[in-house]
Amino acid sequence: MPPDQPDVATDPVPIIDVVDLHKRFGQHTVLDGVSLSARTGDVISLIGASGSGKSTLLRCLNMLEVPNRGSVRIAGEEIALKTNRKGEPIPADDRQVDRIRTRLGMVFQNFNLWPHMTVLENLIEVPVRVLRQSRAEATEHAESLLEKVGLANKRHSYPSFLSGGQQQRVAIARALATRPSVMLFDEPTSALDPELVGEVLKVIRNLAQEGCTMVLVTHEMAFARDVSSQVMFLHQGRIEEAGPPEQIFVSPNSERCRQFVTAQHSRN
Amino acid sequence: MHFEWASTYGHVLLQGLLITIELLLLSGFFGFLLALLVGFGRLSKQPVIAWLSLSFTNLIRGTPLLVQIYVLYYGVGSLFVGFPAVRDSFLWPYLREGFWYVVVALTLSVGGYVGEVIKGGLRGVPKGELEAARALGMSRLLMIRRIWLPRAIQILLPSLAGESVGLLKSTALASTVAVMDVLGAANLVRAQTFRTYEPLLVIAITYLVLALLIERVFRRLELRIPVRGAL
Repeated sequence: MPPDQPDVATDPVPIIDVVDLHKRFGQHTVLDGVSLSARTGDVISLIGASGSGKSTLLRCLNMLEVPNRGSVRIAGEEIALKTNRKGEPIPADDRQVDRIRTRLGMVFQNFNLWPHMTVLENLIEVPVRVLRQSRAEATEHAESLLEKVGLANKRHSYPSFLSGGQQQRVAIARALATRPSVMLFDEPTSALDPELVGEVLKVIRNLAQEGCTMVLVTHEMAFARDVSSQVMFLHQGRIEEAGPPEQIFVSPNSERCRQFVTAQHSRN
Repeated sequence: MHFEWASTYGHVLLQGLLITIELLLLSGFFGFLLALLVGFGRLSKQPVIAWLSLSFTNLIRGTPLLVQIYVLYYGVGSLFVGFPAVRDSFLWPYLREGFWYVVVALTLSVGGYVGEVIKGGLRGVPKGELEAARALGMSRLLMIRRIWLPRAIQILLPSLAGESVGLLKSTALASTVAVMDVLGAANLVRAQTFRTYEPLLVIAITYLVLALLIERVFRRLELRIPVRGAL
């Protein structure tokens, strides 16, 4: 089942609205004034070299990294931030962040399934414990999600018995289990053996085609070109160029972006 | 070898066995709770809590358990005698007995040793699993309860089995403060029958059987969650 899809025309508030984000790690500036806006149904790919800030930007959307400056709004609600005694930025209200996080499904490079739970238990954990759904309701939804990622027969397996590709498909199903408004993918295929990349991309592609809103950090250029409604190229913590995939991959305005895309293309 | 004393003194040893098991379960249970506090305390970002936890483990692990038992029983225990308020209180029947001093000493000991083990286990859980829990909306407390702690214990089960057997053997020190545990009972039998080796042989085998039982229980727990590559 795709996440909630209000009619785009009656949806004037962007589901994600990021304005002028700055993030430093110590002295090192990782994000240097980044803005991003996503509407329901958008598929936004973030591309760029390692260290360009694309993963940090994604992790700022659900406050896994807390920005030093700038604002993040999810469905019009701004995430309140404050500064702790050491001068580091922290969320002002943990409950607000926890609540908003259940609306943002996240998929990690290393899957991060919980190995002491079966596949099914991984999927129903948050719906039952956080969203207070009944076990029966959560299980029913979880089984339909496992069906969708092609792993219904693995529901009672433990993660360590699955291949990397299977684990990542379970992780996608787990992220979908809260019926999020947006899916966040952080290099979902980077830790996979090459022959397992395809099965995971297929699942993500299906989601995109169903209208699932997503923000995706990826090195898979052909895939990004294929599924994205918008591509953003990051360089040294700034958005160097953003636009529809045809622009970014065929006729970018920025010379750096052209070089990056060409280099990636010849590498693949 | 003569075992004819067994018919007369068998029940003494059996009662000793009961006391030993009580010591084991009580100090195991309370010690584990304390160890959780110490383990998380060791990882705390609050300097005071981290320092307190470290000092506690250093104190416990740096002094012999027998000395700790003596300090509690002869030291603290004899202080209590001087206070009529304590002597007249409903707690006095307990404070008079060596049993509860040993339970406290063993609890503190488990807190120190297992606390350090727990700290290691908590550190051994991959950060990504915890991050995933938070990213999907779990509060910090729920993440600790549902993911961090269960995972750490899963990783630590083999070590905890070893610590539990160690605790079983430590309970034998209770006999030094007149507690009639298995060893205390055996000493009584020896004193009254003048048979030295047979009672000791019987209780050595008793400890061995208990140790094997503990290992078995932990093995069962380990097998509850299958892991690829494990036997």
